[in-house]
Amino acid sequence: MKRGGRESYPSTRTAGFHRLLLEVRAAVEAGVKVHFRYIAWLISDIIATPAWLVLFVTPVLLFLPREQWSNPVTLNFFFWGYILWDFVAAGLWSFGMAIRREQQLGTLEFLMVTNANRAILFSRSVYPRMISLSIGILYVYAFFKALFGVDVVLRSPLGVVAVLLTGMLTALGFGLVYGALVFRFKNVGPLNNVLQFVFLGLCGIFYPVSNLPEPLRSIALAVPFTYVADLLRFYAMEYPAVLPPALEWAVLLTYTLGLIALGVALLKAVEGNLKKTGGLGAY
Amino acid sequence: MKSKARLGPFLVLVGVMSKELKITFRYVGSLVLLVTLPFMISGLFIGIGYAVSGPLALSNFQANTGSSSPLLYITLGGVLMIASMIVIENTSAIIREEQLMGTFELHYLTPNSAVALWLLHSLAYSILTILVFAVDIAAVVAWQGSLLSPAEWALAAAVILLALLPLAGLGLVIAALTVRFKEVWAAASVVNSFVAALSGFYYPLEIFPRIVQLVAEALPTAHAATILKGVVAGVPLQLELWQRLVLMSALALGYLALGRFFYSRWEDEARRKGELSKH
Repeated sequence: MKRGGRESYPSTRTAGFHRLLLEVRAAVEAGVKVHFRYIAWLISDIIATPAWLVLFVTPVLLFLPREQWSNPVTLNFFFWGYILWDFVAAGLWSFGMAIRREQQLGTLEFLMVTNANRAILFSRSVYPRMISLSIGILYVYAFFKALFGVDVVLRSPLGVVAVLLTGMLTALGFGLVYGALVFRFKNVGPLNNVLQFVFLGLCGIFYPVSNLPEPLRSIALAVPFTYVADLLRFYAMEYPAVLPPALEWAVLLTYTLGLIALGVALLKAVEGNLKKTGGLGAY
Repeated sequence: MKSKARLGPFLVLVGVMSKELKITFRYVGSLVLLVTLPFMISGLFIGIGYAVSGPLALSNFQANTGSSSPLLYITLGGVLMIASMIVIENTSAIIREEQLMGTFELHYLTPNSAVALWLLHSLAYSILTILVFAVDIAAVVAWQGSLLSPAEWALAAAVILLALLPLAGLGLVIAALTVRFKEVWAAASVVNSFVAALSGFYYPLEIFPRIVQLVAEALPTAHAATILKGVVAGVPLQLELWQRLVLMSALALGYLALGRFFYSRWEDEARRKGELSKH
């Protein structure tokens, strides 16, 4: 509190919904500030996008006959797949590694002495991710159209927005659970990369899971990202969903809420345990 | 004493190699990732290819690339792509990282040329890549029931060296041009993406318009990818091998000279203005 003036920072000595709002506001401010501090990265992402698109889409086209290289359905799959990749990456890298980054920066202990909700604290990158996703869809679309000469189909914009928002929350929930495990086991080594490739290959990010052989198909249906991909294509391209859409929504929402609840509980348990053993800031 | 001075560059090379070796083996997880990542990329592309195309995937791939083995073709591309990214990123960030660690000035207390020192680092990364290449490609080739001859291994190693060392020159240009803006990694990421896309690691460059092919001719990695696909995966070469090697050697000299020029210019200016270790 400044002498004779307003408080220099928002007080968290509040309770209930007001407290939650204060924490979310602080998380939004911090997340957006950190994100836009590194302008060079934002610009380099845009400049590098056409190169990554070519590098990623072309090898897969080689498995198709040449006359199908401009097939709009195939290319639309790749466009939405490229966008969906961001969700898997967000779950693993942005949210999953948030606590680890604070540990490595040496700021984790300072955050842990506050009374802030841990889930809100470590999910601050969800806000800039949403901004970058919105901007990203626009410039990926522009480059995609310029490079491959195909229009991206968007049959139900509202449905797409609903799936994208839910998908981000799913990634957040997954990231909280994964982050809690990283918090506990510290160095996960190359696991992030391995999981990223497993999810990208398994969850039908670039093709419908109905194309997978049976044991893999059942495993794919047990992963929440599968429903994000399937519903997104259903609303964007009217591509038939593997299960009835209402059922897919029910499964996706259950997964999302369950993962967030589990993530919060796990974070609390791991923090409590690490405080007891003195391993909070060790890395 | 004199003999030690004569051995100077060699001793520096040994020092750099042992340092890089220690760092590499300190992070076993990263080393495992380096070896396995090309297989993960192959698995992803091949999996998507089969899911999208069905049983005709293999014949389509062969018709489009001239290679009957997508696993070998894409794994080879993966090894080269990851290696080129490592060389460019590590060399680009060398000034900045050493400055941040506070060790940059220490190198200037030794009688070694800084440019030579950074190039020796890229030699170390290149040798590491050759080892990764040997492990990964030997595994795939052996799995397919064949072997490469010693001459083919030697040619592959020479081509990798000739492709990767010049990238250090490119890295030094980025390092010198971007060190003031602090975000060297962002610039390196852009250069990496275009080098990867234009080198044809995962696809034949002939499928692109002529202008793209001409730009790609200026990249040593594009020639390396073509040669290695010919040697290892049996893809027919359009130019004679010696012609490509001459082109690669000329490009290597050009890139290294460019890197030396930009780095020395930055170094001179930094010495004059006292900015050598400013961060």
